[in-house]
Amino acid sequence: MKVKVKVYGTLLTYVAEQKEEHELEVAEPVTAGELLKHLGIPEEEVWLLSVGKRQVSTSYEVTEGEELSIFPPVTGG
Amino acid sequence: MTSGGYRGKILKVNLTDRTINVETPDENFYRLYYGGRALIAHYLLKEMKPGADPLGPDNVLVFATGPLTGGPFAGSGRNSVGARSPLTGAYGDGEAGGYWGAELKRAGYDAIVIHGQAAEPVYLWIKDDQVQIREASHLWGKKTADVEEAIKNELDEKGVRITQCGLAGENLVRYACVVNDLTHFAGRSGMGAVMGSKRLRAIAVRGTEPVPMADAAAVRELGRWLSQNVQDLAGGMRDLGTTGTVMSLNISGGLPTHNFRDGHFAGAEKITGETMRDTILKDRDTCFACPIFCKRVVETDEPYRVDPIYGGPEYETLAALGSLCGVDDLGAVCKAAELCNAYGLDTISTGVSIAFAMECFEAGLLEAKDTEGKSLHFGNSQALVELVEQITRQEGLGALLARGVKAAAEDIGPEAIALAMHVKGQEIPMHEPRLKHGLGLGYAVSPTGADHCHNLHDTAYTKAGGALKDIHPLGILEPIPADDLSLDKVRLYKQVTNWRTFSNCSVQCYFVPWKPHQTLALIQGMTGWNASLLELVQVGERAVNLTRCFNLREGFTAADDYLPERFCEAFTSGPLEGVAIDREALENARIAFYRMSGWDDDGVPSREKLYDLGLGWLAEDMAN
Ligand code: SF4
Repeated sequence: MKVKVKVYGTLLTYVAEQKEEHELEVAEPVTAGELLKHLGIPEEEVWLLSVGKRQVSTSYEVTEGEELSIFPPVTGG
Repeated sequence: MTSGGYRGKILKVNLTDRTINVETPDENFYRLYYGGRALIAHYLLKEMKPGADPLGPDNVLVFATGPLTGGPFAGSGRNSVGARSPLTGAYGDGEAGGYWGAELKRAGYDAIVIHGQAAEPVYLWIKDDQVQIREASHLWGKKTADVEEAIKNELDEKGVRITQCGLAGENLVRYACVVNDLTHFAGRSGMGAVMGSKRLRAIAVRGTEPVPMADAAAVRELGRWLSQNVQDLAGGMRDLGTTGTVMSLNISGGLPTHNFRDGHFAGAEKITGETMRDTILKDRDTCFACPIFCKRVVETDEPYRVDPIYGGPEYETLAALGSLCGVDDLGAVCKAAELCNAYGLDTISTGVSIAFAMECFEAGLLEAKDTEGKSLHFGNSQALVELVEQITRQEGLGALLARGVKAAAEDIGPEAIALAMHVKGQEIPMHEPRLKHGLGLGYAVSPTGADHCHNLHDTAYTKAGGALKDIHPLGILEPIPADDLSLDKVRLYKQVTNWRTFSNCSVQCYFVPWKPHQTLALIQGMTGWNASLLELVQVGERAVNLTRCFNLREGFTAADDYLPERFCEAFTSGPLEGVAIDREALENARIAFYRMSGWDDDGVPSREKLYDLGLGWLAEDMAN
């Protein structure tokens, strides 16, 4: 199945060519955590995962056509 | 003197008797206070009469750089502006990027200390060792871009850099900011009003001597390394600047919305950094020697004309003038931001003041007769823009809001006090304590009132990732949940705050991803000192104690270290529904922070603690 992944901010460092949007062909079922591994993004660098603007955990099963967003921690200054 | 990093001269100007002097402190002075916050607090404690009116001639206004300012590497273009704050009555400062700080160093000064009050509007013109107090009546009442242009034209000198207070400062709006290089703002604490009260409209600087470096090769090498790796290290900051955080904060439930009543904004997608980038972003801007370019430049024509000369909003501004006021019209948010910039208003305090008025209106505490018939419901974008004008000119409801939410609420009545989102009178910035509980402790105990800059952002340290590894040298090894307020969190807060306060003394940009050992190498390379990380952390802690003692001297007590009650009430909707700060845990954390700091349970530093920090003179002053 096809799933979309969007990578934000400093996490782009981990993905090839710092590409923001990815469309991945993966075998069902796939969890958000497995998609992180697939892209090579270390889980400890991730603050927030979301699907359809709702926060999800690494064990969330991403289904066909859904988009997973991956965010780094927010600081301020 | 040091072999580098400093110019060894402090310019002292008295605007009452129009005298100009130069002080040349010895090396030990610089090594104890470094620059920025510690240096400013030192001058306020030594030279400001206790109890001085923040808007009177006895307040002391300091423009300070640090040992890194003007160096050839990212993050070195900053300056700090401090005085007794007219917004809080406490120690106040704000910090800005841009070019002015580096130019002041090139002109030969590490800081400017201003006393007195001019009889008529003036500006300072500093060309290396030539310093003039010049007439500025013709600049009074003008927008910042017009003043910038007028001064540059009349000085007819290439490369002049200007800092100024804006119309809001002239009109003594309590949260007027100081604007340098037109698009950089020492935003917080009302330093623009202090400038305005002294009738000092601007300081123009031109310097021709590079800042000396003890080990130029080492410093340049680090600067080059960052430039070469900038895409990997800070590509996200270049792409979206700080505005990239709107979306994730909204998803997490921590996007300040409707005067902090909510943490989730239905219209957030319309005001994200991504939306701005894909629609009205015209350019990216930067500061002295910085390859990151995190600053925004926006332009719109319809229905609001937003002039790109004033830059564009950062995260704090998008949230304060956007979600906090329930406004999802990006054009209106950018127009309100442009006006704040053109008039010299802090966008955070402006947004919080307007959101406060909107909630008061919805609660029936302000009525149509108070708002000249305006309906001040959340989301009214036209009212947002109009109120920025009114606040600047102290007209209508603007006259009340120009005093800050604390004073405004006291005028409106007891029910309004619960809606006034501030600590010590400083409006809360756009970071939600119910998402980051340690940050809530930080708001409570901060010397400048609610402040996000020298504060802990708990969400960075909840996992064993790179952010945590960065602070291993500060002794922090284990991740801690964001909603924790245990003794371990207090320790994390204390270490991170001392470190970030050191950045306020080296006057260095927080956004440049220098690791602690690289910052140390930059300090060593600039100054030639055999500095250690311990030394740098102690400088931060010294600044925390200097500002604490200043506030105690001005009558502040532990009772002023509070958090607005709203944060101890649970969200009723959104991803953080049911989450609140535990009042008792916060109280315990506050006392624990005092004790870890070597303060008594009333928050007073012990005599021994001050001696421990090399501040024996202050221990003796405090005892008398
Ligand atoms: S990171 Fe941004 S704010 Fe900091 S110095 Fe660079 S451009 Fe200026």
